[in-house]
Amino acid sequence: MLRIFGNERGFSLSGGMLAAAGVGAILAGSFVYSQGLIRVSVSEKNPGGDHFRIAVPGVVVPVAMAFLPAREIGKHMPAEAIQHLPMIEAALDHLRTLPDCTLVQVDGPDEHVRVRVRDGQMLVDVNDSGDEVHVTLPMGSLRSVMSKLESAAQYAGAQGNAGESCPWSHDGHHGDHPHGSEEID
Amino acid sequence: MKRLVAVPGILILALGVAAAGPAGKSTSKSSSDKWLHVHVQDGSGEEAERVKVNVPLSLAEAVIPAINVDKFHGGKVKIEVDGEDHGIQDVDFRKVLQALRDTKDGNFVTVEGKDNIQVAKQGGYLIAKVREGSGSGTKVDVKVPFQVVEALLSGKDNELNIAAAVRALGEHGDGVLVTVDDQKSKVRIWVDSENESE
Repeated sequence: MLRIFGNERGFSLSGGMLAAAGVGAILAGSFVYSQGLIRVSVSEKNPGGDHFRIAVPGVVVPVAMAFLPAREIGKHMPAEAIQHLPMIEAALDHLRTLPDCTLVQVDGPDEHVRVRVRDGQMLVDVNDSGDEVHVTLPMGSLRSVMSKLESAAQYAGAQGNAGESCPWSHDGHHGDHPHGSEEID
Repeated sequence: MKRLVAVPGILILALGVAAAGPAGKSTSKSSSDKWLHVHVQDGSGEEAERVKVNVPLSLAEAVIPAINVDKFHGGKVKIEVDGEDHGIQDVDFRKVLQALRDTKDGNFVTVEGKDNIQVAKQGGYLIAKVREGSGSGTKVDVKVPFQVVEALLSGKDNELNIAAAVRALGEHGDGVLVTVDDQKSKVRIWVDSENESE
């Protein structure tokens, strides 16, 4: 095959590898772009206040989540957080399907808050007398965080740390956790 | 041969770009197009605080059954009445509602005094009006479709079926549900098909 390639009108192995690398780079770039950017910007308004800005590709979140041990997170998860996970999960699944909208808007003499959905991203803007905060969260990133928390909650449930009621059971019965103590990654 | 290599390359590129799309772009729209809007204004002028909440009813429908706290489970909230209001437990609200539904439109309760209260049925709606004190007192207007009230009372005796009520609200037309107006604050709750509110 190599010989055939080499003999055909100057097509070389190095050229083919370069093209493959180019295609790979474009695909990787497209994937990173599809996951969006997590942006956090915090500005303190007091004189000499700090300004903090960070932009991380959303694709980092699922990768980072893969390295976090669900068992350890589950050990330290508060029962209240576990209790609210199904609600957050239901909301998140639905938020991803929403058109652009403003969910919450608060305007006061000294503070302005906006929680919006734009292009499948959650935007939170807070502007008060002390700070200005802007957060952009791609829903896909939140989904991977939720998946990890769900796994962690299953460990917490298995260890009996879930408090008085099982969060996955709407009628609050004990001991009907579907996973018991089986291994979960 | 170059063509043979180029064609799959272009195809892969096209697929990659098509699959990527803009960041997290949603692929489908919400199933229900009704939105619940809540506006609260506390105070007046530049010192006023204004809160606007816009929630798609489909989101509420999805989230409410997943709430599992205190007396709120599976989209239903348990009502426990004690103290001075204990007597209200003996009132069969379902039978009252049934009686109201079967009667013609009209005023059912009218209280005139320091405060004026009026409860009426009009065009398939349960209407309540409260006027506190003289002209400058608090004004409360509630206009709820009967189907929503029925859905709300569709649970057990001591339960309010919030999930069913939200579902019924989504199936009903647009309209203002609650307005509260007093000297200090204003509240307006309504349902329409707009995803943003004025």
